[in-house]
Amino acid sequence: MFGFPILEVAIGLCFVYLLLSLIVSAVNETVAALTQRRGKMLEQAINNLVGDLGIKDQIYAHPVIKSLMQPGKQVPSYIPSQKFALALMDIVTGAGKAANDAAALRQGVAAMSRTKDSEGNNKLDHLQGVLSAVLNDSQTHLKTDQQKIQAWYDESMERVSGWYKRRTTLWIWGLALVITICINADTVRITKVLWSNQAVRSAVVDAANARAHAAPPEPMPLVEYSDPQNPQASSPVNIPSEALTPDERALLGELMIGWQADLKELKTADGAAAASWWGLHVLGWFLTMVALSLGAPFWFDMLNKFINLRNSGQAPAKVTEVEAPAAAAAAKGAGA
Amino acid sequence: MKPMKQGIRYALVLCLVLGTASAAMAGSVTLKKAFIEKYKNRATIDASFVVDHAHPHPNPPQKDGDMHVAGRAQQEVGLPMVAEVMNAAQKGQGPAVTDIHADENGKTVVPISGAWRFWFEHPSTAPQIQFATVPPAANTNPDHCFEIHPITKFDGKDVLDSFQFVPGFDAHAAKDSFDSYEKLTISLKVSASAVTINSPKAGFNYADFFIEFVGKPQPLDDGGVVALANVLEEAKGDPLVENVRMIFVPGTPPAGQMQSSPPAEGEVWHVLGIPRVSLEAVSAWISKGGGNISNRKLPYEMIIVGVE
Repeated sequence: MFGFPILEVAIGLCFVYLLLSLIVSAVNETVAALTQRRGKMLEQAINNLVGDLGIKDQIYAHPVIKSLMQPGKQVPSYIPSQKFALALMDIVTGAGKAANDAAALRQGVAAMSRTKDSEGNNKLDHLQGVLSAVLNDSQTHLKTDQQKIQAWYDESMERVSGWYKRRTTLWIWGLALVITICINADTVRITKVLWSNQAVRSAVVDAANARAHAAPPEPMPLVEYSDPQNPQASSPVNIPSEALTPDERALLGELMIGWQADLKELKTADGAAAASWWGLHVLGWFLTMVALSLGAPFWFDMLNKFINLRNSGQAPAKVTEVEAPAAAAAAKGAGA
Repeated sequence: MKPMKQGIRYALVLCLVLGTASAAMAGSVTLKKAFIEKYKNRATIDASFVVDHAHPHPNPPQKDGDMHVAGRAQQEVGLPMVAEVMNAAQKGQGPAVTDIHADENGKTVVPISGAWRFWFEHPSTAPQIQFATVPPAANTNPDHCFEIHPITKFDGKDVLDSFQFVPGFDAHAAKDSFDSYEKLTISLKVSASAVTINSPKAGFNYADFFIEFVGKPQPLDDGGVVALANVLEEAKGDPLVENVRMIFVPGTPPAGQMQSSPPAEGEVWHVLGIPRVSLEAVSAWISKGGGNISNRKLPYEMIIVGVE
């Protein structure tokens, strides 16, 4: 019979996956912040872009870029294209010239061929070649030199964004593996506990209900913008927030079997039982890891679906606080 | 036998969780509040657009007749997005479609205008934050929740007359569509300058329905028109949904009909519509002091893209 216990176990599993995903996400964000992952990748990308460490250092030392650095951070995690273009043009045109002086900019680019290192090599030939091509690109619809440099920078940053996403995905998988193993988050075992222990199951379902209805989903990023009045592009900044409530942390602690009892079971197992222990655990860890890689927003939505299914008959589409002011404003706006 | 029975139960639970999981994609998108305020009472958006990929040919009319274009508008939109020309195989849309292919190089910046459409039809599992750098689209249909759909002008080529019923296309029935929209729930997370919206995947792109006007239409900030209307399945009968904002895009045949023969209260029109999240409702919620919420009804409005 397909009854409520099965649904409650499903809710429990979604809830556990949600909490563990939040932990993975929070750890990932913390590691990224501590290691300045974004900023360092950006620095590496700009180094590749300009092809010279000295120019890169000058860009980072430029007041326009320095103003983007958060206190205590070595590098900014984001540089808007207009600021990059402005700083680079200012450096290339040289002291005493306006950054947007087109003639000075071209003279500066031409003068790069005369910049030699101690071994007589032209260390700016890469940047000179790229800038010459960018500034002389007549095919583009972009009108000013600054727009051309911005477009070149934006194009490069799009690739960097792809690299960062891929690297973050690897980090998420790695952290999911580490956290799964560290706390022995075995899906098969958790399912067994939820199925066989009604008290734990009830507590988990209550907590899941609270998470789904009382609090906003923590995986949703809290973001601020540097120029809030401008409806166009500006730099978004993620604001970190607490991943789990104290009650959820305690519940998760109760639900995880831990290693001690589990290893004791393995020690007393004979050959076939030990093989079964390993087989089920590897399967359970793998399922947990795959689940965590799907991310917290996914599991939050799943949790809501199962809770709505359990509370079937309770229509989610009633007029709510979102609609009430909206309907009033719409009626006003439409003259109804 | 008991362990086997238990094993079957565990397998059932896992299948239930993982099976439903595959069909329950949700998306999280952060919008800048200033963007919401600017567009909440506009039908359209103007943007500088880069075409990454476009379908070689418009969809056949049986599918929906649209021409899909994936690209980016970093300055004005700042989200992964697509743009679509309605009735794209029709002769009038030819010059714009030709231009789309000519500009399909991921570099050329072209002006584009059309109805903005924020809708969780193709959500990404990863949160999307407006004005974070948008990578080039890898194909014609990247994960996206923002569209310019339908396009009204591409690189100076006007496609306003594409706003009409698609001959040969069976749009979704009114009841199925609005039942689906009414069941959608969202969560909001609000900061001083941004709003993050989490919603399950939404569908039912084109809906065929009747509207019964319940108030005098009002102008929008961009020259479009908004009218409150009840949604009907047939020309007569009980409304399926009441007081939905209907958006008429300036310069299009539906907006023209609105101007040439303004509807009286109670008048019924047969229309083709596309749903979008009502930024006006989201803004109203926030301005009334609404903060973080979860699991509430999705506020939506309909872009009227055809009137019969």
